[in-house]
Formats: sequence, C-alpha cells, structure tokens
Amino acid sequence: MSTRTWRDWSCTVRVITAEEAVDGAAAVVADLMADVERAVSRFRDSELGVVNDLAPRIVPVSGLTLELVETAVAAARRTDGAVDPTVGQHVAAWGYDADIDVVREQDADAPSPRPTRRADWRRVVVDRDLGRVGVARGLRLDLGATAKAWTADEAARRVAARYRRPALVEIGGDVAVAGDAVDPWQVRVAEVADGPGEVVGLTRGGLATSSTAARRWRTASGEAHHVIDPRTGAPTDDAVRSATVWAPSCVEANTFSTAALVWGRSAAARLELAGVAARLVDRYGVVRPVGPWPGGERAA
Amino acid sequence: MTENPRLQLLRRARLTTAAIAVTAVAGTAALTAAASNATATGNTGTGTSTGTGGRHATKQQGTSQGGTGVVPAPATSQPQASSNAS
Repeated sequence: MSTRTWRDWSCTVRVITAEEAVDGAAAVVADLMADVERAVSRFRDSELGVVNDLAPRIVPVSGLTLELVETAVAAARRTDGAVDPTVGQHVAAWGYDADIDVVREQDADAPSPRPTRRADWRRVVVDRDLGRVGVARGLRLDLGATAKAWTADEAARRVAARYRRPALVEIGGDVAVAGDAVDPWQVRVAEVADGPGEVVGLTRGGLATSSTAARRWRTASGEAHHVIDPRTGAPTDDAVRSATVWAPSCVEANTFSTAALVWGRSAAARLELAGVAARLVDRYGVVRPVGPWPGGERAA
Repeated sequence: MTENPRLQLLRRARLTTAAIAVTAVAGTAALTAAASNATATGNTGTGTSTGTGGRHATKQQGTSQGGTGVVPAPATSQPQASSNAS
C-alpha cells in the first residue's frame, strides 16, 4: 500500500495504490489537476474564463474543456437543473470570486452587485463537432460541482491503468476508486474534516460530500456559503446541510450530493428514485441514511 | 373387405384437416417467439444509442443492476481516505 498526500486547489489531495509502492502515481494526479485548472479554473486564466468573458460568442476550446462542460450540462439535465453550471455570476455576486482563504479575508461590508439574469443551463451551447462552447449573455459558467469529481474519477482510472493495480484518489473529499481491490477501501465520512463521522467500505465507484458547513464567509447581509440554489440565486436554505452520496462514479456522487442540498426536504425521495446510496444530515444534525447506505438514523 | 371409397375420402380429409390445424398452431408459436426476440433486440438497441441521454440511461441501469459500492466497515477499521466538505 502506498499513500501520497499534498495540498492543491485549497484542499487535501491523496492518492493510494494497492500492493507495493509505485513512483509517479502522484505525478499522474498532479499533472491532470494542472490540465483541468488551465481548462476551467474560475480564479485563474483558463479557457472557461475566456468563454465567460466573450459570452454570448461560441468559442473554440480544448477537448478537455469540452468534456468538462458536457459533464456539467449532463449533471444539470439529470437533476432537473438543481446542479446548474450557469450559477457562476451568482456565486461571484455573493462574494465567492477568489480562493476561499482570500474571500474570508475580504471586507464583509462591501456591497456586491446582484446578477439580473436567472441561471439557466439550457442556455449553454456545446458544439462537439467543431469543438466550441458558449453561454448566453449575462450568465457565467462555474463547474465547481462536477470538475473536481471528474478529475478524481479520471485520475483514479489513469493510475490504475498505468500501474495495473487498484487505486484510490481523493481530492477535497471527492473520492474515486478504480481497479478491483481485494478488500473495500476504508473511507471516513463526515460533514467537515475532523468532525463527527463514520467509516464505510468503498468497493467501486465514488463517494462525494457536499455541505454548507464548509466554505462559509461573511457578507453585508450575514453569512453565506458556496452552494447556490439556481431557482433563487441565493445560498441554499440548510434543510439538508450535508449530503454524502455513493454512486457508480464520483461525478454522479457529487452531482447528487450537491443536488440534495438544493432539493432540501425532498432530497431523500429524489435520491431514492435515482438509485444512489446517501447519508443526509439535516439542519438539526440528524443523520438519515438513504437507499442502501449502511446504518440507521442517528445524531451526527 | 374394401372400404367404401366415400368413407375413405372422408377419413383422409379429416386427417388432412388435423394436420393443417397442428401446423397452424406450431407456426403461430414460432412467430410469437420470433416477435419476442425482435422486441428484446430493439430495447437493447435503444439502451446503447449514442449521445448524452443514452450514456445516462446506461449508467442508471448500472446503478440498479450492479448494487451499491458502499458497505459497512469493520468496527476496528482504520480509514485510508476521507469524504467531507472542504
């Protein structure tokens, strides 16, 4: 068993390979993360930034950017718009326009302009034949709900394929595994790092946790967090404050964990319909398992 | 003793009618089975269609047919990774 851990994207990154240690697994993950950052980062120069700045023009982009935008649009379609990649201008308007450490240090009294256009993922154009992407004027793309999870999936797949052994990749709490491990991977699930939680076994697919308890900052109108309800353009109401989801891929897991916060009180029923396993924590701290998630209802 | 030609003709007609009836039943059964196979093939074709919607359908089937990938951990297990908001 070999484990490498480091910090990037303002979060913990970990790669574990089964059997004996291998050199280079961390580099595979780091290189992919660098490529994804150049493609779709919201905080640094990226192709996605160009697409946003030139809206509503349809802009030529790399295959990676095209894939990531397609993944985000697919997540929106699958959740009936609960996970909408066009909330970028709303997230920024609430003050989340830089790395979270910078946002927390900013002047909380500075008023932010409110966006006038409602998020609408159906106004994203993906032209796969010509390799172009565009978004309607007044909207900005933010792939925060899917790009990190996609990277975890792809990194785990690449490490397992290159070194011919099972691999686990964790990026900021998004966990993906690839290859056929003899024993389940042991993953600690919690709302926030070092908070109360439980350990579960992961045999395949991915686990993702979304929570309003992390990435919070002060604004002139009170505390805000980064999960935006596309219907209102404001942070979600905390009816479900945290959701951990297992799905056949980490992208699907993160899609549904994010959607659960937006769906609120109807989250459990919708997740059951989707056929995923989930661990929901409501605003009072009660843990509710959904689908085949192991364990019963209890306090967080 | 020689059978009356009219009775002989009548007996042959009955045998022929019975043979036709058996053949018709067997043919209907064969056609029904062929139609069932054709329907199943058509469904498979829909599930593997290209495009984003097709891929999603395939993944959803995988979720329901393959079971979950999260299981209880032994009480003494040491976590190797973490899933939490960051």
